[in-house]
Amino acid sequence: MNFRLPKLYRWMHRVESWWRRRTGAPELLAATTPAVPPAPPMTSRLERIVLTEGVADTLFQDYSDHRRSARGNEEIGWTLLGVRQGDEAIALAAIPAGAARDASTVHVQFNADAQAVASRILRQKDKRLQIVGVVHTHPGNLTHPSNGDYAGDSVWVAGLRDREAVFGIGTAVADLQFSWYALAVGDAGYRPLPTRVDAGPDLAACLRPLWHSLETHAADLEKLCRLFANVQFDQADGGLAVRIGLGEPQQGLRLLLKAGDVRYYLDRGGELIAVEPRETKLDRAVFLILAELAKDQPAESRETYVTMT
Amino acid sequence: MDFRTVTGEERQKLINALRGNAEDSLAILMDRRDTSFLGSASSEDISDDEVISAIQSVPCHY
Repeated sequence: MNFRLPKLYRWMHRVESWWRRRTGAPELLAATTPAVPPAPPMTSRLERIVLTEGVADTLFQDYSDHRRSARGNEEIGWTLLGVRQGDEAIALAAIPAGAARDASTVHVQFNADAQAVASRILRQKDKRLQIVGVVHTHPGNLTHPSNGDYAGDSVWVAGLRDREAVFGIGTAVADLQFSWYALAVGDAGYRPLPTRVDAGPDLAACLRPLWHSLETHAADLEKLCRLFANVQFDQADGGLAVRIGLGEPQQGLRLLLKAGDVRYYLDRGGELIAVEPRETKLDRAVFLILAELAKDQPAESRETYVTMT
Repeated sequence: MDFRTVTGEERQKLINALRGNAEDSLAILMDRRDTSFLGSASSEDISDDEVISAIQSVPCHY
């Protein structure tokens, strides 16, 4: 049954990784090169990964914190956003895997919804930011990506703009360390990549205080971003503020996500009207408010508190 | 020191980059090796869909 093959494939790689790390045995499964479309000529191949000091600090600090946490025996990871300039990839932001990641001692799958929303927030100020690479850790001493990594990464890079990406492996044998590689479409294996650290912040650091709210509602927020043309994110009152433009100038719906709580406000030219949609699911709440607005019953004043039944 | 007249195409790109920098604060890119003009940041803008698609297709790592 074909639909079960990916699950079986993942399970086989987990067994392989576990066996190899426990015994030091050679690869059980031969690396297979998946069929990928031929690569177009690239102007230059990656020769270096440049990390800002902020990104480097984030990787080491997160990894250290993770190892002391209740899930410290699991793999962990980050998606790197940055820019590509010539033969260098410059990592400007390290987006965490998220608390809702799927991980064990031999695998990690990032929370893609949370990372997608995080990328939207970061890219509001700079549309040049793109994925430049992925970092994940190995609990043992394997500082090189595994065959299972290659099976997925070699297909994934074919869909990227530059058809090439950076891959980092974190290990903690004596000290924490990260080993860096590049993989382009059609490559038979990863190439070791020199690293340089330059001055600069981790652009994703601003998301850390908001991360719980962001991740809790990530799937709904991503859905709203796809449905509405004008969704803006901001930080307000210690929470994540979301503004959805409503077509008319100076009109919008404002959401304030803070510590698991969501508050809704109708913005009419700066006048904020609190709305209580009596709906726990964020996207449904937004649709209910819009449906109520469609009845064309304008709220009266700043003090008005709209309660929907 | 090497002085040369910029070509018509280079001149137009440079003017566009300078205008983008003045009006929209777009970065002007410079080659770190020889400080030559590389282009304007605006030409490197990437769509949300492209980035989201890449993020959502990041494979499981082992």
